[in-house]
Amino acid sequence: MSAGLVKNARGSGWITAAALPWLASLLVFFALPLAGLAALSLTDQSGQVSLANYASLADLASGRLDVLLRTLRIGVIVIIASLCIALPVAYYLAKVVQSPRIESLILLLVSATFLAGPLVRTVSWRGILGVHGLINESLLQLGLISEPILSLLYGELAMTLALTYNVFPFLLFTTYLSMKVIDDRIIAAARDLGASPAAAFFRVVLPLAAPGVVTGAVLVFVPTLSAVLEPEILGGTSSRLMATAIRDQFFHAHNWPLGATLTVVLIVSGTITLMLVALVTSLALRACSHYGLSTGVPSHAK
Amino acid sequence: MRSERHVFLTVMTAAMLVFSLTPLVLVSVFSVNASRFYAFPITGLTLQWYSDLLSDDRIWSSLLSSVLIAVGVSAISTCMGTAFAFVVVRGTGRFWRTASVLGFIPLAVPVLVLAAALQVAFVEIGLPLGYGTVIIGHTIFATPFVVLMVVAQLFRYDWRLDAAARDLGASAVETFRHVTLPILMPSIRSGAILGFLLSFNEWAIAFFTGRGFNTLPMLVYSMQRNGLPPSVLAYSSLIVIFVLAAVLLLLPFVLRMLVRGAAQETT
Repeated sequence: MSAGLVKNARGSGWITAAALPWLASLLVFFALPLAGLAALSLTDQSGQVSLANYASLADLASGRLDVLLRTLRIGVIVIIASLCIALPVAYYLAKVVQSPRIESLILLLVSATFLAGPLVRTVSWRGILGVHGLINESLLQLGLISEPILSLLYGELAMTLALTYNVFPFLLFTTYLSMKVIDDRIIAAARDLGASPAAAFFRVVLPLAAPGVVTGAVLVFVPTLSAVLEPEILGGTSSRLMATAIRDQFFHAHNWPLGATLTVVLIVSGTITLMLVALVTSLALRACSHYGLSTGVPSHAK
Repeated sequence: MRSERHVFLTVMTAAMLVFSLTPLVLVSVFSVNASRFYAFPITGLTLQWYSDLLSDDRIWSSLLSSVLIAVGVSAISTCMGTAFAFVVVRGTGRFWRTASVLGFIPLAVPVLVLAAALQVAFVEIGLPLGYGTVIIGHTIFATPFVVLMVVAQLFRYDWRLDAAARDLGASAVETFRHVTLPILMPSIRSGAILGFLLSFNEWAIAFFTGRGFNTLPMLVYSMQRNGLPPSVLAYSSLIVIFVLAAVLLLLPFVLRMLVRGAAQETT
């Protein structure tokens, strides 16, 4: 018994040593700086404690509230758009395609385009949406329009498109991984029992993949909150987002306390938005179940 | 009935590939177009924009900065991330389960928020902004991804191999060095490549916490603000080629994982 205790102690000591470098880094270079930022947000530029920064947000004339709401709205749109792309593709790659070669090739192509980084990915959209870009030129050639559509570039549409393009792989990867570990026999059993392909997907596959889908939804929403490049390169002047406002406070206005305030507000409101999305989704699913469209996890699958 | 499902899913996957590839293919095509503008028509073939890019001294000094930072980030985040992956997979009890989740917390915080917080903290404690501060920031950003890479393989790891090595008289350290580590090497290598690429292409943290030099994304960001010179297209195209080559290095590894997974499912 004492040998067991010694072994346990040694085992956990080993885990402590493995965990310490990363957890200590997180404390010093992540948790403390964020706490410092929160503290800074409660001061004014002379260092006095003040709530004036937060009060200035409520001032509608400053337009900051509009920018915040636009940021959150676009974040939610990006989640929905990413779901539309990621769910069918992840299911295809994880469960439908038979060749591991095609599966890994597609995953690697998506990874490669993803890892080219947001700057390159965003800049490259200008050649598609521009006045003489791919879309306008194609439509002109086809005779569908007689002159180029000017509003494609520089606006919320272009920005939302590029944001979705830049982040949807997060959702694709997490959904793919969680679908990959689902036992094929569960899906086969659902089909044998008479479920249509769609029913099998929505009532068996999707509930089982839910953890991956939720993780991915967070991972696509979070970068949207900190998007500086996409609004600047494609958004034009009318589509400023919070991240741009924060950058400007730090680099142009040199009002760090106000920048810190905007940052804190962004994190808090972002978290609340995600919780609301989760709440609405679960309520909607519950409402669906009244009409026989239950997506509840079958008890035997747990 | 089965084929119906296949048609829809296949079309969606093909559409996703087109969506993913078109912008990057287009930017590469226009990087050799004779016209200065990133717009139709295609007027001729030229390598002028590449020679513009490569004859710009700022590019080479930025490349050096970016590589120095990315190598540092890759080394540090691979060591810390691999160690932490063991905590995630082997840690038991409420304490270590909580610690494992906390280790992924940076994924849930916008990069810009981290960048601003670090800038304020570094200035506050008097740490001069430079290479070191960017490496710290990028390490916080990249390590959770490295952990995920290693965890993916570690979850399937057959711990009986370790037990066998110990039974045969190997010490814990020898077992780790000669059994565990070699088997995990593919995912550790992928983690290192991922850490390098994430740092190499990251803009916000470098912009906030770096002073006195430009990384490549910082330089190209400032170049594209003045009407998108064609050398930016050449840069984009080179990045795409570079990343594609780095990712293709991983193809055999991913393929092996998938084939082995399929073999396990059928047995």
